[in-house]
Amino acid sequence: MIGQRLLRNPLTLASVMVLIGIHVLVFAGPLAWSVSPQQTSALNALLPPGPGHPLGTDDLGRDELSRLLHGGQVTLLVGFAAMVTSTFLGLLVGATAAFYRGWLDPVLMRLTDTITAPAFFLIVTAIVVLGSGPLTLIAVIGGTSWMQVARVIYGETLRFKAQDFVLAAEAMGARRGAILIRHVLPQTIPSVVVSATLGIGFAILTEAAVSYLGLGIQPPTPSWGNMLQNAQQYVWTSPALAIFPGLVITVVVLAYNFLGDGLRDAVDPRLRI
Amino acid sequence: MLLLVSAITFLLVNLAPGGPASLMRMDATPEQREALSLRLGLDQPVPVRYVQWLGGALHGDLGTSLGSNEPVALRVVQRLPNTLLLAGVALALSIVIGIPMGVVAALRRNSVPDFLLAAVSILGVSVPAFWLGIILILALSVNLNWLPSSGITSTAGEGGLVDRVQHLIMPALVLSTTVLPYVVRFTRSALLEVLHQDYVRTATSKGLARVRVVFGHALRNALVPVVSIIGTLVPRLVGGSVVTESVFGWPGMGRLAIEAANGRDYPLIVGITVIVASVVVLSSLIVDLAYTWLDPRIRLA
Repeated sequence: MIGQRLLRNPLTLASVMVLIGIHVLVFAGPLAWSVSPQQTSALNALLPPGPGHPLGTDDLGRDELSRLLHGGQVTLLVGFAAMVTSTFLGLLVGATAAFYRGWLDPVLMRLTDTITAPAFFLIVTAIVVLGSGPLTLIAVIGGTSWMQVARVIYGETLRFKAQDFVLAAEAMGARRGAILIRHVLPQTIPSVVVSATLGIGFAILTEAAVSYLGLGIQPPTPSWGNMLQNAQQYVWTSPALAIFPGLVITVVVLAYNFLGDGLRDAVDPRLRI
Repeated sequence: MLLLVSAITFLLVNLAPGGPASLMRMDATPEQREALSLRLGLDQPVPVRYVQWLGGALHGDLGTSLGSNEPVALRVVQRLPNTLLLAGVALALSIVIGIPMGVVAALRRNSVPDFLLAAVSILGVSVPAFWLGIILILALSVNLNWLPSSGITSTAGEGGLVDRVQHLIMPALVLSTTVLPYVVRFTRSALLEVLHQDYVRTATSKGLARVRVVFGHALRNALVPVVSIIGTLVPRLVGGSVVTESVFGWPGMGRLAIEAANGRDYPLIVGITVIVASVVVLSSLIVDLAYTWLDPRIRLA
Protein backbone atom coordinates (compact mmCIF):
# COMPACT_ATOMS: atom_id res chain seq x y z
CA MET A 1 0.00 0.00 0.00
CA ILE A 2 2.74 2.44 0.97
CA GLY A 3 4.83 1.15 -1.91
CA GLN A 4 1.99 1.75 -4.35
CA ARG A 5 1.39 5.25 -3.07
CA LEU A 6 5.12 5.89 -3.24
CA LEU A 7 5.60 4.87 -6.84
CA ARG A 8 2.48 6.67 -8.03
CA ASN A 9 4.35 9.93 -7.42
CA PRO A 10 6.30 10.51 -10.65
CA LEU A 11 9.06 12.49 -8.93
CA THR A 12 9.67 9.72 -6.42
CA LEU A 13 9.66 7.09 -9.16
CA ALA A 14 12.15 9.13 -11.18
CA SER A 15 14.36 9.58 -8.08
CA VAL A 16 14.39 5.85 -7.39
CA MET A 17 15.39 5.15 -10.98
CA VAL A 18 18.10 7.82 -10.96
CA LEU A 19 19.50 6.47 -7.68
CA ILE A 20 19.53 2.88 -8.92
CA GLY A 21 21.18 4.05 -12.14
CA ILE A 22 23.91 6.01 -10.38
CA HIS A 23 24.67 3.25 -7.87
CA VAL A 24 24.93 0.67 -10.65
CA LEU A 25 27.19 2.98 -12.66
CA VAL A 26 29.43 3.77 -9.71
CA PHE A 27 29.79 0.24 -8.37
CA ALA A 28 29.67 -1.75 -11.63
CA GLY A 29 30.97 0.94 -13.98
CA PRO A 30 34.67 0.42 -13.22
CA LEU A 31 34.28 -3.14 -14.57
CA ALA A 32 33.44 -1.71 -17.97
CA TRP A 33 35.65 1.40 -17.80
CA SER A 34 38.84 -0.16 -16.50
CA VAL A 35 41.16 2.87 -16.72
CA SER A 36 42.93 3.32 -13.36
CA PRO A 37 41.89 6.38 -11.35
CA GLN A 38 45.49 6.71 -10.14
CA GLN A 39 47.30 6.47 -13.48
CA THR A 40 49.03 9.83 -13.89
CA SER A 41 50.39 11.14 -17.14
CA ALA A 42 52.13 14.49 -17.41
CA LEU A 43 51.61 14.59 -21.16
CA ASN A 44 47.87 14.19 -20.89
CA ALA A 45 47.23 16.67 -18.09
CA LEU A 46 44.13 18.88 -18.18
CA LEU A 47 42.77 17.48 -21.44
CA PRO A 48 39.25 18.64 -22.32
CA PRO A 49 36.58 15.94 -22.69
CA GLY A 50 37.27 13.93 -25.84
CA PRO A 51 37.87 10.43 -27.20
CA GLY A 52 39.96 8.29 -24.85
CA HIS A 53 38.95 10.46 -21.89
CA PRO A 54 35.18 11.08 -22.13
CA LEU A 55 35.28 13.62 -19.30
CA GLY A 56 38.84 14.82 -19.85
CA THR A 57 41.77 14.54 -17.43
CA ASP A 58 42.77 16.37 -14.27
CA ASP A 59 45.93 18.31 -13.44
CA LEU A 60 47.96 15.12 -13.09
CA GLY A 61 46.60 13.57 -16.28
CA ARG A 62 44.34 11.14 -14.45
CA ASP A 63 41.16 10.05 -16.19
CA GLU A 64 38.27 12.11 -14.86
CA LEU A 65 35.57 9.52 -15.62
CA SER A 66 37.44 6.80 -13.78
CA ARG A 67 38.01 9.10 -10.79
CA LEU A 68 34.35 10.04 -10.81
CA LEU A 69 33.31 6.36 -10.66
CA HIS A 70 35.83 5.37 -7.97
CA GLY A 71 35.26 8.61 -6.06
CA GLY A 72 31.55 7.87 -6.14
CA GLN A 73 32.13 4.56 -4.37
CA VAL A 74 33.95 6.36 -1.56
CA THR A 75 31.44 9.20 -1.28
CA LEU A 76 28.34 6.99 -1.41
CA LEU A 77 29.76 4.48 1.09
CA VAL A 78 30.86 7.18 3.52
CA GLY A 79 27.49 8.91 3.14
CA PHE A 80 25.55 5.71 3.76
CA ALA A 81 27.65 4.60 6.72
CA ALA A 82 27.52 8.07 8.30
CA MET A 83 23.74 8.02 7.91
CA VAL A 84 23.53 4.62 9.63
CA THR A 85 25.68 5.95 12.48
CA SER A 86 23.68 9.15 12.91
CA THR A 87 20.34 7.33 12.70
CA PHE A 88 21.44 4.87 15.35
CA LEU A 89 22.71 7.61 17.66
CA GLY A 90 19.63 9.75 17.07
CA LEU A 91 17.33 6.82 17.81
CA LEU A 92 19.24 5.99 20.96
CA VAL A 93 19.27 9.54 22.31
CA GLY A 94 15.75 10.52 21.24
CA ALA A 95 14.03 7.34 22.43
CA THR A 96 15.94 7.18 25.72
CA ALA A 97 15.24 10.81 26.57
CA ALA A 98 11.54 10.59 25.74
CA PHE A 99 10.84 7.14 27.18
CA TYR A 100 12.70 7.31 30.47
CA ARG A 101 12.32 11.07 31.10
CA GLY A 102 13.67 11.89 34.58
CA TRP A 103 17.12 13.47 34.58
CA LEU A 104 18.02 11.80 31.27
CA ASP A 105 15.56 13.93 29.32
CA PRO A 106 16.97 17.41 30.01
CA VAL A 107 20.57 16.17 29.90
CA LEU A 108 20.24 14.40 26.55
CA MET A 109 18.13 17.05 24.85
CA ARG A 110 20.43 19.80 26.11
CA LEU A 111 23.35 17.85 24.64
CA THR A 112 21.42 17.69 21.37
CA ASP A 113 21.01 21.47 21.29
CA THR A 114 24.61 22.00 22.30
CA ILE A 115 26.08 19.93 19.50
CA THR A 116 23.79 21.58 16.96
CA ALA A 117 25.17 25.05 17.63
CA PRO A 118 28.73 24.72 16.30
CA ALA A 119 28.27 21.39 14.47
CA PHE A 120 30.44 22.14 11.46
CA PHE A 121 33.21 23.59 13.61
CA LEU A 122 33.11 20.47 15.77
CA ILE A 123 33.54 18.37 12.64
CA VAL A 124 36.60 20.39 11.68
CA THR A 125 38.04 20.15 15.20
CA ALA A 126 37.38 16.43 15.50
CA ILE A 127 38.97 15.64 12.14
CA VAL A 128 42.07 17.66 12.95
CA VAL A 129 42.48 15.78 16.19
CA LEU A 130 41.43 12.30 15.13
CA GLY A 131 42.88 12.24 11.62
CA SER A 132 40.96 11.83 8.40
CA GLY A 133 40.67 8.17 7.41
CA PRO A 134 37.33 7.08 5.92
CA LEU A 135 36.30 5.37 9.17
CA THR A 136 37.07 8.46 11.26
CA LEU A 137 35.18 10.55 8.75
CA ILE A 138 32.13 8.28 9.05
CA ALA A 139 32.27 8.44 12.85
CA VAL A 140 32.73 12.21 12.89
CA ILE A 141 29.98 13.00 10.38
CA GLY A 142 27.64 10.48 12.00
CA GLY A 143 28.54 11.77 15.45
CA THR A 144 27.66 15.37 14.58
CA SER A 145 24.50 14.91 12.51
CA TRP A 146 22.19 12.77 14.66
CA MET A 147 20.42 15.70 16.32
CA GLN A 148 17.60 16.01 13.78
CA VAL A 149 16.77 12.30 14.06
CA ALA A 150 16.92 12.53 17.84
CA ARG A 151 14.38 15.38 17.89
CA VAL A 152 12.00 13.55 15.54
CA ILE A 153 12.22 10.30 17.52
CA TYR A 154 11.87 12.22 20.77
CA GLY A 155 8.55 13.65 19.62
CA GLU A 156 7.32 10.35 18.21
CA THR A 157 8.24 8.37 21.32
CA LEU A 158 6.47 10.89 23.56
CA ARG A 159 3.40 10.62 21.34
CA PHE A 160 3.24 6.83 21.23
CA LYS A 161 4.13 6.11 24.82
CA ALA A 162 1.02 8.01 25.93
CA GLN A 163 -1.23 5.68 23.95
CA ASP A 164 -3.42 2.88 25.17
CA PHE A 165 -1.44 -0.04 23.79
CA VAL A 166 1.48 0.99 25.99
CA LEU A 167 -0.82 1.08 28.99
CA ALA A 168 -2.13 -2.35 28.00
CA ALA A 169 1.38 -3.76 27.75
CA GLU A 170 2.21 -2.27 31.14
CA ALA A 171 -0.92 -3.80 32.62
CA MET A 172 0.15 -7.17 31.29
CA GLY A 173 3.38 -6.79 33.19
CA ALA A 174 5.80 -6.16 30.33
CA ARG A 175 9.13 -4.72 31.36
CA ARG A 176 9.89 -1.08 30.50
CA GLY A 177 12.71 -1.93 28.13
CA ALA A 178 10.55 -4.48 26.33
CA ILE A 179 7.73 -1.95 25.94
CA LEU A 180 10.14 0.52 24.37
CA ILE A 181 11.70 -1.96 21.99
CA ARG A 182 8.71 -4.12 21.05
CA HIS A 183 5.85 -1.64 21.18
CA VAL A 184 6.99 1.96 20.90
CA LEU A 185 10.02 1.85 18.60
CA PRO A 186 8.30 -0.10 15.78
CA GLN A 187 5.77 2.73 15.57
CA THR A 188 8.55 5.18 14.82
CA ILE A 189 9.96 3.18 11.89
CA PRO A 190 8.25 5.32 9.20
CA SER A 191 9.75 8.52 10.63
CA VAL A 192 13.13 6.84 10.98
CA VAL A 193 13.08 5.76 7.34
CA VAL A 194 12.19 9.26 6.20
CA SER A 195 14.89 10.86 8.36
CA ALA A 196 17.43 8.30 7.22
CA THR A 197 16.70 8.94 3.55
CA LEU A 198 17.05 12.69 4.00
CA GLY A 199 20.12 12.00 6.18
CA ILE A 200 22.02 10.26 3.38
CA GLY A 201 21.79 13.42 1.30
CA PHE A 202 23.00 15.50 4.21
CA ALA A 203 25.89 13.13 4.94
CA ILE A 204 26.99 13.14 1.30
CA LEU A 205 26.95 16.94 1.27
CA THR A 206 28.96 17.06 4.49
CA GLU A 207 31.55 14.59 3.23
CA ALA A 208 31.87 16.61 0.03
CA ALA A 209 32.30 19.88 1.92
CA VAL A 210 34.84 18.45 4.35
CA SER A 211 36.85 16.79 1.58
CA TYR A 212 36.69 19.95 -0.50
CA LEU A 213 38.27 21.80 2.41
CA GLY A 214 41.09 19.27 2.36
CA LEU A 215 40.13 17.71 5.69
CA GLY A 216 38.24 14.66 4.46
CA ILE A 217 39.20 11.84 2.14
CA GLN A 218 42.87 12.37 1.32
CA PRO A 219 44.28 12.24 -2.21
CA PRO A 220 45.23 10.15 -4.12
CA THR A 221 42.01 8.33 -3.12
CA PRO A 222 39.34 10.15 -5.08
CA SER A 223 36.04 11.31 -3.62
CA TRP A 224 33.52 13.65 -5.18
CA GLY A 225 34.44 16.30 -2.64
CA ASN A 226 38.21 16.22 -2.97
CA MET A 227 37.97 16.14 -6.77
CA LEU A 228 36.55 19.65 -6.48
CA GLN A 229 39.39 20.77 -4.24
CA ASN A 230 41.84 20.97 -7.13
CA ALA A 231 39.21 21.87 -9.67
CA GLN A 232 38.87 25.40 -8.35
CA GLN A 233 42.50 26.18 -9.22
CA TYR A 234 41.91 25.18 -12.81
CA VAL A 235 38.45 26.63 -13.20
CA TRP A 236 39.88 29.25 -15.58
CA THR A 237 41.32 26.71 -17.99
CA SER A 238 39.47 23.43 -17.39
CA PRO A 239 35.94 24.18 -16.23
CA ALA A 240 34.89 20.57 -16.94
CA LEU A 241 36.82 19.40 -13.86
CA ALA A 242 34.69 21.62 -11.63
CA ILE A 243 31.37 20.84 -13.26
CA PHE A 244 31.06 17.04 -13.29
CA PRO A 245 31.72 16.06 -9.64
CA GLY A 246 29.43 18.83 -8.39
CA LEU A 247 26.74 17.82 -10.82
CA VAL A 248 26.66 14.20 -9.68
CA ILE A 249 26.61 15.27 -6.02
CA THR A 250 23.67 17.55 -6.74
CA VAL A 251 21.78 14.89 -8.68
CA VAL A 252 22.29 12.20 -6.03
CA VAL A 253 21.37 14.46 -3.10
CA LEU A 254 18.39 15.83 -5.01
CA ALA A 255 17.16 12.29 -5.69
CA TYR A 256 17.54 11.29 -2.04
CA ASN A 257 15.67 14.43 -0.96
CA PHE A 258 12.82 13.79 -3.42
CA LEU A 259 12.69 10.18 -2.27
CA GLY A 260 12.59 11.27 1.36
CA ASP A 261 9.78 13.75 0.69
CA GLY A 262 7.91 11.12 -1.31
CA LEU A 263 8.32 8.60 1.50
CA ARG A 264 6.97 11.11 3.99
CA ASP A 265 3.92 11.76 1.85
CA ALA A 266 3.35 8.03 1.32
CA VAL A 267 3.76 7.17 5.00
CA ASP A 268 1.56 9.96 6.26
CA PRO A 269 -0.56 11.66 3.60
CA ARG A 270 -1.99 14.03 6.19
CA LEU A 271 1.36 15.80 6.41
CA ARG A 272 1.02 16.89 2.81
CA ILE A 273 0.01 20.53 2.79
CA MET B 1 25.24 25.17 27.41
CA LEU B 2 28.32 27.17 26.51
CA LEU B 3 30.09 25.38 29.32
CA LEU B 4 29.16 22.07 27.72
CA VAL B 5 30.43 23.17 24.29
CA SER B 6 33.72 24.35 25.70
CA ALA B 7 34.13 21.20 27.76
CA ILE B 8 33.39 18.91 24.80
CA THR B 9 35.78 20.78 22.51
CA PHE B 10 38.50 21.07 25.11
CA LEU B 11 38.37 17.42 26.10
CA LEU B 12 38.18 16.29 22.47
CA VAL B 13 41.29 18.26 21.64
CA ASN B 14 43.27 17.36 24.72
CA LEU B 15 42.46 13.70 25.21
CA ALA B 16 42.81 12.53 21.62
CA PRO B 17 45.97 10.69 20.62
CA GLY B 18 46.83 13.35 18.04
CA GLY B 19 46.52 16.09 20.65
CA PRO B 20 48.83 19.00 21.39
CA ALA B 21 51.61 16.75 22.67
CA SER B 22 52.12 15.36 19.17
CA LEU B 23 52.94 18.86 17.96
CA MET B 24 56.55 18.46 18.94
CA ARG B 25 58.77 17.56 16.09
CA MET B 26 60.52 14.24 16.13
CA ASP B 27 63.99 15.75 16.25
CA ALA B 28 63.27 17.85 19.34
CA THR B 29 65.59 17.12 22.22
CA PRO B 30 64.08 15.94 25.52
CA GLU B 31 64.88 19.37 27.02
CA GLN B 32 63.02 21.17 24.25
CA ARG B 33 60.03 18.90 24.72
CA GLU B 34 60.10 19.61 28.41
CA ALA B 35 60.24 23.35 27.80
CA LEU B 36 57.38 23.30 25.33
CA SER B 37 55.17 21.18 27.60
CA LEU B 38 55.90 23.55 30.42
CA ARG B 39 55.04 26.57 28.28
CA LEU B 40 51.76 25.02 27.10
CA GLY B 41 51.02 23.74 30.59
CA LEU B 42 50.90 20.16 29.34
CA ASP B 43 52.48 18.92 32.56
CA GLN B 44 49.17 19.56 34.33
CA PRO B 45 46.32 17.03 34.20
CA VAL B 46 43.54 17.80 31.68
CA PRO B 47 40.79 18.81 34.16
CA VAL B 48 43.15 21.29 35.82
CA ARG B 49 44.06 22.72 32.42
CA TYR B 50 40.37 23.02 31.55
CA VAL B 51 39.57 24.92 34.74
CA GLN B 52 42.54 27.23 34.15
CA TRP B 53 41.48 27.79 30.56
CA LEU B 54 37.89 28.44 31.63
CA GLY B 55 39.05 30.93 34.25
CA GLY B 56 40.97 32.80 31.56
CA ALA B 57 38.10 32.56 29.09
CA LEU B 58 35.74 34.26 31.52
CA HIS B 59 38.11 37.22 31.50
CA GLY B 60 38.34 37.24 27.72
CA ASP B 61 41.65 35.36 27.61
CA LEU B 62 41.34 32.36 25.31
CA GLY B 63 45.01 31.47 25.32
CA THR B 64 47.73 32.09 22.76
CA SER B 65 47.65 30.96 19.16
CA LEU B 66 50.43 28.46 18.45
CA GLY B 67 50.77 29.64 14.87
CA SER B 68 51.27 33.36 15.35
CA ASN B 69 51.88 33.73 19.10
CA GLU B 70 49.09 36.30 19.19
CA PRO B 71 46.24 35.99 21.70
CA VAL B 72 43.46 33.78 20.34
CA ALA B 73 40.84 36.35 21.32
CA LEU B 74 42.61 39.01 19.23
CA ARG B 75 42.79 36.85 16.11
CA VAL B 76 39.15 35.89 16.41
CA VAL B 77 38.01 39.46 17.02
CA GLN B 78 39.88 40.57 13.89
CA ARG B 79 37.93 38.08 11.80
CA LEU B 80 34.54 38.04 13.50
CA PRO B 81 33.15 41.27 11.94
CA ASN B 82 33.78 39.93 8.44
CA THR B 83 31.83 36.77 9.14
CA LEU B 84 29.04 38.67 10.86
CA LEU B 85 28.79 40.98 7.85
CA LEU B 86 28.66 38.08 5.42
CA ALA B 87 26.22 36.03 7.48
CA GLY B 88 24.06 39.05 8.26
CA VAL B 89 23.74 40.05 4.62
CA ALA B 90 23.05 36.44 3.64
CA LEU B 91 20.35 36.11 6.29
CA ALA B 92 18.81 39.44 5.28
CA LEU B 93 18.83 38.32 1.64
CA SER B 94 17.12 35.05 2.41
CA ILE B 95 14.45 36.81 4.49
CA VAL B 96 13.84 39.52 1.92
CA ILE B 97 13.68 37.02 -0.94
CA GLY B 98 12.33 34.02 0.96
CA ILE B 99 9.27 35.46 2.66
CA PRO B 100 7.74 36.92 -0.52
CA MET B 101 8.50 33.63 -2.30
CA GLY B 102 6.75 31.72 0.47
CA VAL B 103 3.77 34.08 0.34
CA VAL B 104 3.43 33.63 -3.42
CA ALA B 105 3.68 29.85 -3.04
CA ALA B 106 1.00 29.81 -0.36
CA LEU B 107 -1.42 32.12 -2.16
CA ARG B 108 -1.02 30.35 -5.50
CA ARG B 109 -1.05 26.94 -3.89
CA ASN B 110 -0.59 23.98 -6.27
CA SER B 111 -0.10 26.32 -9.21
CA VAL B 112 2.87 26.42 -11.56
CA PRO B 113 4.74 29.07 -9.50
CA ASP B 114 4.20 26.99 -6.37
CA PHE B 115 5.70 23.88 -7.94
CA LEU B 116 8.55 25.89 -9.43
CA LEU B 117 9.37 27.41 -6.05
CA ALA B 118 9.19 23.97 -4.41
CA ALA B 119 11.55 22.60 -7.05
CA VAL B 120 13.96 25.51 -6.64
CA SER B 121 14.01 25.20 -2.87
CA ILE B 122 14.63 21.45 -2.89
CA LEU B 123 17.38 22.10 -5.42
CA GLY B 124 18.74 24.72 -3.03
CA VAL B 125 19.19 22.22 -0.21
CA SER B 126 20.72 19.65 -2.57
CA VAL B 127 23.43 21.73 -4.21
CA PRO B 128 26.77 21.72 -2.38
CA ALA B 129 27.27 25.39 -1.47
CA PHE B 130 30.95 25.34 -2.39
CA TRP B 131 30.18 23.95 -5.81
CA LEU B 132 27.55 26.63 -6.42
CA GLY B 133 30.27 29.11 -5.48
CA ILE B 134 32.70 27.62 -8.00
CA ILE B 135 30.04 27.64 -10.71
CA LEU B 136 29.18 31.27 -9.97
CA ILE B 137 32.86 32.19 -10.16
CA LEU B 138 33.04 30.32 -13.46
CA ALA B 139 30.02 32.15 -14.85
CA LEU B 140 30.31 35.65 -13.41
CA SER B 141 34.05 36.09 -12.94
CA VAL B 142 35.68 33.90 -15.55
CA ASN B 143 33.25 34.13 -18.44
CA LEU B 144 31.50 37.44 -17.93
CA ASN B 145 34.12 39.19 -15.80
CA TRP B 146 31.38 41.02 -13.86
CA LEU B 147 32.40 40.33 -10.30
CA PRO B 148 35.68 39.70 -8.48
CA SER B 149 36.24 36.02 -7.68
CA SER B 150 37.66 36.34 -4.18
CA GLY B 151 38.69 38.52 -1.29
CA ILE B 152 36.91 41.24 0.59
CA THR B 153 38.34 44.23 -1.34
CA SER B 154 40.56 44.56 -4.37
CA THR B 155 44.23 44.83 -3.47
CA ALA B 156 44.66 47.59 -6.02
CA GLY B 157 41.65 49.67 -5.03
CA GLU B 158 41.40 51.36 -1.69
CA GLY B 159 38.18 49.44 -1.03
CA GLY B 160 35.45 51.97 -1.68
CA LEU B 161 31.85 51.06 -0.98
CA VAL B 162 31.16 49.87 -4.53
CA ASP B 163 34.21 47.64 -4.45
CA ARG B 164 33.20 46.13 -1.14
CA VAL B 165 29.65 45.48 -2.31
CA GLN B 166 30.94 43.83 -5.47
CA HIS B 167 33.05 41.49 -3.39
CA LEU B 168 30.13 40.74 -1.11
CA ILE B 169 27.52 39.80 -3.72
CA MET B 170 28.59 36.27 -4.65
CA PRO B 171 29.54 34.97 -1.19
CA ALA B 172 26.36 36.38 0.33
CA LEU B 173 24.26 34.86 -2.44
CA VAL B 174 25.89 31.45 -2.02
CA LEU B 175 25.59 31.53 1.77
CA SER B 176 21.95 32.58 1.58
CA THR B 177 21.08 29.51 -0.52
CA THR B 178 21.95 27.33 2.49
CA VAL B 179 19.01 28.82 4.43
CA LEU B 180 16.69 30.30 1.79
CA PRO B 181 14.79 27.04 1.06
CA TYR B 182 13.83 26.69 4.72
CA VAL B 183 12.54 30.27 4.88
CA VAL B 184 10.40 29.68 1.77
CA ARG B 185 9.00 26.36 2.97
CA PHE B 186 8.18 27.59 6.45
CA THR B 187 6.61 30.83 5.27
CA ARG B 188 4.46 28.84 2.88
CA SER B 189 3.24 26.27 5.39
CA ALA B 190 2.79 28.83 8.19
CA LEU B 191 0.75 31.14 5.96
CA LEU B 192 -1.36 28.24 4.66
CA GLU B 193 -2.17 27.23 8.20
CA VAL B 194 -3.18 30.75 9.18
CA LEU B 195 -5.27 31.29 6.05
CA HIS B 196 -7.55 28.44 7.14
CA GLN B 197 -8.38 30.03 10.44
CA ASP B 198 -11.65 31.63 11.42
CA TYR B 199 -10.49 35.19 11.86
CA VAL B 200 -9.15 35.23 8.33
CA ARG B 201 -12.51 34.04 7.06
CA THR B 202 -14.15 36.77 9.16
CA ALA B 203 -11.86 39.40 7.69
CA THR B 204 -12.63 38.19 4.18
CA SER B 205 -16.36 38.03 4.77
CA LYS B 206 -16.55 41.53 6.15
CA GLY B 207 -15.38 42.65 2.75
CA LEU B 208 -11.74 43.49 3.26
CA ALA B 209 -9.56 43.48 0.17
CA ARG B 210 -7.56 40.28 -0.28
CA VAL B 211 -4.35 42.27 0.04
CA ARG B 212 -5.34 43.62 3.45
CA VAL B 213 -6.48 40.23 4.65
CA VAL B 214 -3.23 38.59 3.68
CA PHE B 215 -0.78 41.28 4.71
CA GLY B 216 -2.70 42.90 7.56
CA HIS B 217 -4.12 39.84 9.26
CA ALA B 218 -2.66 36.56 8.10
CA LEU B 219 1.00 37.31 7.44
CA ARG B 220 1.64 38.94 10.79
CA ASN B 221 0.59 35.78 12.58
CA ALA B 222 2.28 33.51 10.08
CA LEU B 223 5.57 35.29 10.70
CA VAL B 224 5.76 34.11 14.30
CA PRO B 225 6.76 30.53 13.44
CA VAL B 226 8.95 31.88 10.64
CA VAL B 227 10.91 33.97 13.14
CA SER B 228 11.41 30.90 15.31
CA ILE B 229 12.76 28.91 12.37
CA ILE B 230 15.22 31.73 11.62
CA GLY B 231 16.74 31.05 15.03
CA THR B 232 17.38 27.44 14.10
CA LEU B 233 18.92 28.53 10.80
CA VAL B 234 21.75 30.44 12.42
CA PRO B 235 23.88 27.32 13.12
CA ARG B 236 23.39 26.30 9.50
CA LEU B 237 24.43 29.75 8.35
CA VAL B 238 27.51 29.66 10.53
CA GLY B 239 28.46 26.18 9.30
CA GLY B 240 27.91 27.27 5.70
CA SER B 241 30.21 30.23 6.24
CA VAL B 242 33.21 27.89 6.63
CA VAL B 243 32.81 26.55 3.13
CA THR B 244 31.68 29.82 1.56
CA GLU B 245 34.59 31.76 3.02
CA SER B 246 37.02 29.14 1.74
CA VAL B 247 35.64 29.28 -1.79
CA PHE B 248 35.72 33.05 -2.00
CA GLY B 249 38.83 33.70 0.06
CA TRP B 250 36.75 35.69 2.51
CA PRO B 251 38.85 36.55 5.58
CA GLY B 252 36.38 35.46 8.26
CA MET B 253 36.07 32.99 11.12
CA GLY B 254 35.37 30.04 8.84
CA ARG B 255 38.63 30.42 6.99
CA LEU B 256 40.44 31.06 10.23
CA ALA B 257 39.10 27.71 11.46
CA ILE B 258 40.45 25.96 8.37
CA GLU B 259 43.80 27.72 8.72
CA ALA B 260 43.90 26.69 12.37
CA ALA B 261 42.96 23.14 11.41
CA ASN B 262 45.69 22.87 8.80
CA GLY B 263 48.25 24.43 11.15
CA ARG B 264 47.11 22.23 14.07
CA ASP B 265 46.69 25.38 16.11
CA TYR B 266 44.74 23.83 19.00
CA PRO B 267 44.15 26.84 21.26
CA LEU B 268 42.89 28.78 18.24
CA ILE B 269 40.45 26.09 17.12
CA VAL B 270 39.03 25.64 20.62
CA GLY B 271 38.61 29.40 20.90
CA ILE B 272 36.87 29.67 17.55
CA THR B 273 34.45 26.84 18.32
CA VAL B 274 33.51 28.35 21.67
CA ILE B 275 33.03 31.83 20.20
CA VAL B 276 30.94 30.48 17.35
CA ALA B 277 28.76 28.65 19.86
CA SER B 278 28.39 31.89 21.86
CA VAL B 279 27.30 33.78 18.76
CA VAL B 280 24.73 31.08 18.00
CA VAL B 281 23.39 31.10 21.56
CA LEU B 282 23.24 34.91 21.55
CA SER B 283 21.33 34.95 18.28
CA SER B 284 18.79 32.43 19.51
CA LEU B 285 18.27 34.70 22.52
CA ILE B 286 17.61 37.63 20.18
CA VAL B 287 15.16 35.47 18.23
CA ASP B 288 13.34 34.59 21.44
CA LEU B 289 13.03 38.29 22.24
CA ALA B 290 11.73 39.07 18.75
CA TYR B 291 9.29 36.22 19.20
CA THR B 292 7.65 37.71 22.29
CA TRP B 293 7.57 41.10 20.60
CA LEU B 294 5.73 39.67 17.58
CA ASP B 295 3.30 37.59 19.59
CA PRO B 296 2.46 39.11 22.98
CA ARG B 297 0.49 35.97 23.93
CA ILE B 298 3.76 34.12 24.46
CA ARG B 299 4.70 36.40 27.32
CA LEU B 300 1.74 35.07 29.29
CA ALA B 301 2.88 31.49 28.96
